[in-house]
Amino acid sequence: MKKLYLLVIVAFLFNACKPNLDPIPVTAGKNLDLSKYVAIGNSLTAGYADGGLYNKAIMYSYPNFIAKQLQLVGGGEFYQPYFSEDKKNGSGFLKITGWNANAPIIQNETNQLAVVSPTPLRLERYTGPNNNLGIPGLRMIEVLSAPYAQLNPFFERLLPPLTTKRYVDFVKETNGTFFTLWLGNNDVLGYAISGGDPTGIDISDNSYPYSTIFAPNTITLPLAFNAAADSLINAATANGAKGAVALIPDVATIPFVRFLNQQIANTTPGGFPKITLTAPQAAALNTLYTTDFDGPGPYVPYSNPNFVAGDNYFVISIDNPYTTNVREVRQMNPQTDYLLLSAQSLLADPVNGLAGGLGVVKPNDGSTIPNPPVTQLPNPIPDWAVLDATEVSQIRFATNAYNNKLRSAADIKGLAVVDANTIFNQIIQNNGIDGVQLNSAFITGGLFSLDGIHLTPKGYAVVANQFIKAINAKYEAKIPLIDVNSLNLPTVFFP
Amino acid sequence: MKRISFTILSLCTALLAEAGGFQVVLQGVRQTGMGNTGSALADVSNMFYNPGAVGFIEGGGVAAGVNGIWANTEFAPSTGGVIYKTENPVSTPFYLHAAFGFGKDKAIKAGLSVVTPYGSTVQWENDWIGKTFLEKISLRAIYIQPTLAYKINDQISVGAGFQYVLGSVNLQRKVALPVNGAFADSKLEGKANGIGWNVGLVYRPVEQFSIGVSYRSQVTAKVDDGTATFSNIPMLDGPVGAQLAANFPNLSNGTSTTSFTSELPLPAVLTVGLSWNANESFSLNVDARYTFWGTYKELAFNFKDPVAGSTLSASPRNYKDRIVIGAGLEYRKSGVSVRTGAYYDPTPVQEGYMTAETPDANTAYLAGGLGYKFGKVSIDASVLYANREKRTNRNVALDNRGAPIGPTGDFKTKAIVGSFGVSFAF
Repeated sequence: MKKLYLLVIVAFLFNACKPNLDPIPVTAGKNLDLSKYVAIGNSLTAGYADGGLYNKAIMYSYPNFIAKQLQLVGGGEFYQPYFSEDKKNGSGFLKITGWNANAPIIQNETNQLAVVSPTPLRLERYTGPNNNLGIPGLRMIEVLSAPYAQLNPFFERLLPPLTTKRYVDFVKETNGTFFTLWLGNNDVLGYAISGGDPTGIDISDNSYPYSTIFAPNTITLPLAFNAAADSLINAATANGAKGAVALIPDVATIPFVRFLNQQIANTTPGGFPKITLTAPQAAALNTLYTTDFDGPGPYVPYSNPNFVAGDNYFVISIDNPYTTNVREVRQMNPQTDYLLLSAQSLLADPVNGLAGGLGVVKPNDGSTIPNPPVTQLPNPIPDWAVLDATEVSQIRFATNAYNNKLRSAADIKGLAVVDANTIFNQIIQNNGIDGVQLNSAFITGGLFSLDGIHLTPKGYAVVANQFIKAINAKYEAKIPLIDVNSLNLPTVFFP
Repeated sequence: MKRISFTILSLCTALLAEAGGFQVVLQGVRQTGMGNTGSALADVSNMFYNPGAVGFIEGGGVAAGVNGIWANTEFAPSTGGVIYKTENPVSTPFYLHAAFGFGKDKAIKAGLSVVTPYGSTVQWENDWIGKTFLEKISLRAIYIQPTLAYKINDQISVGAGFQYVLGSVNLQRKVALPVNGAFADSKLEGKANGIGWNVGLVYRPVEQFSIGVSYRSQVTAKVDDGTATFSNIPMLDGPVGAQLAANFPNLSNGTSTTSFTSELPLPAVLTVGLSWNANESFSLNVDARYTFWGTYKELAFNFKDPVAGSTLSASPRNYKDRIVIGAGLEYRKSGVSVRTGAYYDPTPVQEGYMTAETPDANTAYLAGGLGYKFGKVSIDASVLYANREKRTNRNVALDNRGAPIGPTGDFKTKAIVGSFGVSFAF
């Protein structure tokens, strides 16, 4: 009996000094079944970063971040299509390998790739269970194309060999109980990163540059986007699944578009470079641009760049495919016309770049105009190197149309909406969000990875939190947010 | 009163709260069993608490004892869904007091207290969410207090002591580096010392009633030559590596060291105690302690070389003065004593100032104790149970570098203190 008392006392004392604190309550609420979460989308959903899809990046995908939080409120297992360990570098990716003075040397990772065939590109097939349906490169209009499955190596690797399957069917078969959907970025992105320079598009189509076909680097016509978006959202919700739909951010937020203008302005004394001319010099240059040197010959003159006495800016090509008798140029406005990251090496080239006269004139090498009559020829910055204000407004027009569609389709289905457009603009304006500091600066900003388009692990975690906030608000859930600061999530990796 | 209780004399109030750990006042096993009351009792264990009380003991005495503190804190981050816990080792503060009578009727007492009020360690579980605030803090301290007391007459006794404090601190945490998601390890180690004094008076207008008033000065524990070590710093190339290296002095092979100085004010305490011996077998005590916590404005480290661009790392504390009130009973029969008591300790920590080392909140204490006296020897045991209110740390204050001083979320602490003491009167 005495022993028993002693036991009771010891047990009491032992238990008495356990605080037994309850976690701050979290719940999926009454409205959500999180047993099978599937993530629908493109490269951003896949976790693509630094210009590639590789295991470490997949691990930091925003759906994986979301899934871990869902698991705190009863969410099920979340499988992702990793490459096998000896092929962990997947498609390869960009990495900083060293420094050239203060400039990073960015090179491609070429070891331990999962490339099984270079042309057409084929990657190691993934056959396990998969909840992350993000397909790098996927456009909204492509979700209705069955042959597309064989055209996109990232889609092809998720399917049995030689399968043709529409992405909408792929989604439907997954039969998730909960989903996130972030798709449509690529319906404008190709146009943006090509500098508004579509290829393979029939210029007699008067909807230029909007397209209903899958031609590269076009902007998807909003009507075509709408039909595809309806199909996809119907497929995702076919079994009654709830979810969240993210809108498309403004393409002018990505460093790929914004970075070079800023860098050039920051590294040039007096700000963005100006070309200072006298009145006779300006007149001579305007004449040079507008002169048709060979009359009816193959040489096509340029429109008047309107150089004036005093300060002028670089001339950019804003060529309109409808006009064949003149190549349209104008001076760039560094506030609204963006030199693209893809042009970095060209612009920096000592002979062919800005230092060699790009944007003004180049020496006449005699290859197009016999030498003489002129010693110099017009030398506008090529169309692919610049996303000009008109192109930006075309993209914004489409983006707004897509976002209106995504929002209304989500509303009709009772889905949460993540306004990624507003969120990205806020991050850029406030240098952070919800107490997490990051900005859109290339390499140093923390939001974007080395490709200047996709996000860093920290950036994807911030996105995951925005999804969770929208889900919590819509479905009266309390899914815990990720403590991004405490986790000190990585950004761009430095050697 | 012949009894000389070997008690656990504790400076925990002062030291633990500031320097981190579980804050329990443990003055003596007997007093602990009565809810930390009885500072006006003639007891050698009151040497630290009210040296005036020592004047009333008969002859001399020696006391020794040890405590075991089992303290656990849990943290529920505001993001929700999870709990993090401390994995504190049991701390075992001990003490030794001795007082000897001199002069006519041995009215003069000369005594010495040697006390390790805590050997406390707060250790959070590995990789907890607040690891950049604290992973582990260990504190060691020894108080050496020569004391003189004088019984002026049967009504009044006074006493005073000089305190020399020797200690050490070891504080470990992670530092979140702005590159590659890396965490470096930060360790601050140093030896501290400080001096102080205490004075006390006990007035006994009638045999059954004592009133004690005492004052213990502030002790400023100074670390003059601490060592700050930052390790596991990635060695990176180029401007990023240079920028990172610029944050860490004397960096070599991923480890950076510099020295630091720091000061920790252990605040002054004013105590008033009332004891009423109703009859041979029953006593009642009421004690009140006013702690001048307001002196603890900030925890600052001054580095010899700039760390992260500044030689100063200053974290605000802005404590508020607080008063602790407790009551206790003792029942004695044929050498056996049974004790109980309770007290309430309002937190000096304001909202937004909770930290991972002192996640303080209002705390209620419940105590029970037993004593057995045979001849000149007494054996005492007590158990003290502490239940600290769950408290939410929100709107967290920022340090001089703009970083929050503690994590956001709920803290909850409970502790059990078991004490055992032996005393010998002569």
